[in-house]
Amino acid sequence: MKDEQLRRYLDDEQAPAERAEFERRLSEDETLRRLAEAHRALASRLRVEPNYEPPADLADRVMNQIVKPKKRTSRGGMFFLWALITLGVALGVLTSVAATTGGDVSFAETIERALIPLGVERRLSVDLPEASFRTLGYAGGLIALIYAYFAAETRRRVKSIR
Amino acid sequence: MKQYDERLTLESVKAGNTSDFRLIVERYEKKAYGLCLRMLGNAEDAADCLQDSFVKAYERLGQFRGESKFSTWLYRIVYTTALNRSAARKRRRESEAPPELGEGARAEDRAERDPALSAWIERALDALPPAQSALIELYYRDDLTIAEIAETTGLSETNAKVTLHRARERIRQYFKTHGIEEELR
Repeated sequence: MKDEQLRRYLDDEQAPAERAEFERRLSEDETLRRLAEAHRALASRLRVEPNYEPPADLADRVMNQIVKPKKRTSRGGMFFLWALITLGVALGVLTSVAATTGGDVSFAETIERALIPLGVERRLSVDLPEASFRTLGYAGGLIALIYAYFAAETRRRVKSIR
Repeated sequence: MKQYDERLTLESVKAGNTSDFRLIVERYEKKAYGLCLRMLGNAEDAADCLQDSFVKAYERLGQFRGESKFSTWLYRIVYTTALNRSAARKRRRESEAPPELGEGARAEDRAERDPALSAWIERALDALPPAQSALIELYYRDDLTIAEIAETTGLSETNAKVTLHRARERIRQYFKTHGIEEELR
């Protein structure tokens, strides 16, 4: 409370009556008076501005940074990564479907039936053996995983260097 | 050398004349550096903070609508950047003690800028939390009003005044602890 009153006195926020009362207390209370004096003296000392000297090349550093074109390689890299992952997953799903259908239905027929609800009704011109699709799917998935691992690792190393 | 006109310079940079941003950097770098240095405590961090702040200011210049003074808007970016940095990094402190005050020296006999007293004041300011030392810097050295400080720091005006008073009290206590309170008079 006393501290807040002192602050209001120093900041000249008191009403005239309150200020007169506080000044009366100052005249009677040596400790309070010395405290107020110390704050006033400190305020004037704090106004002395030190001679700050920023780095001489600061403006050059800022300008070099803001005129440098932003790299877009990371966005391109991410697009390629997601494209590979999507391809791998799609091939993996298709080969799994083919593997579970079995029997007398070929893989090409499975795809044809899956495409009918989408309005696509035509024979696939290529009728590769089921094993080839499965191998392709596994390979795509594996490549996508390896690529994702190295992309994440490279990103982590670059961050740690910065 | 180009004459600095704030409104024209800002319009020019916004219109795409990036090179004119240099005028803004040169205009404010000294005071903004003082704020960074005060809040972070060492020159290297302060320089990095200052560079980041100006780059952020450039990137966000389109958001400045002129509703407040440009300096207040810029100081807010500098203040926030320095505050975030000080929270993330451990503040390094100077290992060496400031020079001793002259024996028997009295205030009325000393020059206006007693180097030893200034060093003690700087030391006391370094011991303050960054948010408090920033207010001292903005109010006493950059001559911002309480309203501008409130806008810069996000504090209410009353809160800014109370924080400023607490900062002064901590500095006084620092001097008292070191037995040199009388040197302030």
